Amino acid sequence: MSRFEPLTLRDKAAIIGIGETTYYRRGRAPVGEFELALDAVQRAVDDAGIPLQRIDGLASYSDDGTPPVRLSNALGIAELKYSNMFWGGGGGGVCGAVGNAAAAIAAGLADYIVVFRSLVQGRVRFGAGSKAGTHPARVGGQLGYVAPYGVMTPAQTIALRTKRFMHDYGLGQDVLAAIALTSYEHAQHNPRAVMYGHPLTRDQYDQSRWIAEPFHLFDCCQENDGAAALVVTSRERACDLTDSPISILAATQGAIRGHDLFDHGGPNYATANFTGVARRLYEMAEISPSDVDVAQVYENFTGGTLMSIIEHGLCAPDQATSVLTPENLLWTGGLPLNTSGGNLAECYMHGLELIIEAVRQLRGESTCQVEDAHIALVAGGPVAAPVSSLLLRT
Amino acid sequence: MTAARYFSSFELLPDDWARTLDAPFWEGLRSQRILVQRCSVCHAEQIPAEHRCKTCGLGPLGWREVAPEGRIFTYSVVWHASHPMLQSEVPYLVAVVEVGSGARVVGNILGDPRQEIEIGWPVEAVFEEHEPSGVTLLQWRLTGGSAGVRIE
Repeated sequence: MSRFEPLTLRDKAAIIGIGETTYYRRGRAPVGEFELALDAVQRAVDDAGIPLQRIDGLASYSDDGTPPVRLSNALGIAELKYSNMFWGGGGGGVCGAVGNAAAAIAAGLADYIVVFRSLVQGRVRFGAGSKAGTHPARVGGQLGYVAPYGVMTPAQTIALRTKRFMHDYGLGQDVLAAIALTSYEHAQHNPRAVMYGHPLTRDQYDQSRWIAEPFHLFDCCQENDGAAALVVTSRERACDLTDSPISILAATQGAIRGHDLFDHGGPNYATANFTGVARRLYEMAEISPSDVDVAQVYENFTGGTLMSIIEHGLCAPDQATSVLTPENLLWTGGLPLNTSGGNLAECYMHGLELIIEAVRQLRGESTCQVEDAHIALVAGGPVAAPVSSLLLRT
Repeated sequence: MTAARYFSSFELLPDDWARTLDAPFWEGLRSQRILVQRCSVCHAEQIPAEHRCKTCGLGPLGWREVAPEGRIFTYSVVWHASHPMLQSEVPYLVAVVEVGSGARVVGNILGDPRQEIEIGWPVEAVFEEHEPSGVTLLQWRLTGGSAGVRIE
């Protein structure tokens, strides 16, 4: 028999501070990415009620461009004890960055770790795939099998998978529309949301131009400038610092075999790649999906969100048409979803704004507050693996 | 059968595959043959190629020729040009086609991008030569035109 306790991350760490800059439409940020990062980190540390100099770790994801030592020096950190970039997955890693910070806290590597993301979009638009150069242009790797046929962006590759998923489960455009309309409706109550004051009707959704069927324009995340940050520490320190520590109940990351964003030949096709991550998430938390009070589920595209919702067990696939409706997904409904507007309508901060909204829900401070919210799920970017998810609790 | 190109101006080709794992597939297309990897342990078939089987994780993998036909596994009509060279080509139709006993390839479906198409419909291969690059791409045409036999 082992002398050691089973290893788990459950309830070892907590989020004590959240911070975000103003969220701008793409290209409208008045300062650069580095200055936005500093701003967001300062706000998160102020929210945590600790001095900036107590921070001793940094964690990010999606190949954030901020140089960590420059950031550490600009923040006045005396000594950096942890520096981590979640590997791969783009926005799929947002919850994994928090999980990595929690693991470092649990292992005693650092005491106060900032998780952040800063984005100034620049001149390359989303949906603008490969570069030109030689003629004819060439592309290598997995893209060599798909780009010659005009498949080179996440929108197209996820549209193909979504179409198959909808076919497999007999789902129609209504479930995609419901996810989009929900984000936009919640954004109308959130003055911080980029789409605040810009409501979306079903007619406008249906009339909006196609990107790659079944995705209309409004099925796709925005392009934004801004920055967001969180402060993570141990649960013990959090309980000393605040009356409302938001505990990290579980954090998991990874990928299932035989699936990759641009590989359409793997055995697992119509999936957001969450089946393993979600199973291990609920195992770590020792709860079931029905215990989740509010869900923030990353929308790169509504189709990815749809697959993610189902793979997290929030809704059975054969009930999706009746459960995933604009009414039921509202903060007053049975499955509150993306309650501050999400990536579609609040801001595309690669999902970090979803974790911030989950914290607000559990503090009772959301602009669309779910009654008695005690457990929040956050799912990171679907389909682009490795993916990651979080369960937070009061 | 060979065909004129699907795209009238867009041309993007795979990098030189001569010394890579993928060589048999691209060499096969040049002789109008479709070759896929086949796992010696679980017999799953896969393309793109990989060092291990994506289904069982084991190997080794051999190569097998499959018939130049398949079924629509999924599809999408693309309207947004993701590359400057695609601006004059939208809308266009992309599909994932299931070949052999389960391998899948991405390609275009020749003809009107708004043609009637359903998951499960049969398609036949059309080999699209790109000279002088020495690359052949694999395209598809609905079998029997738009009145393709539908098998669920």
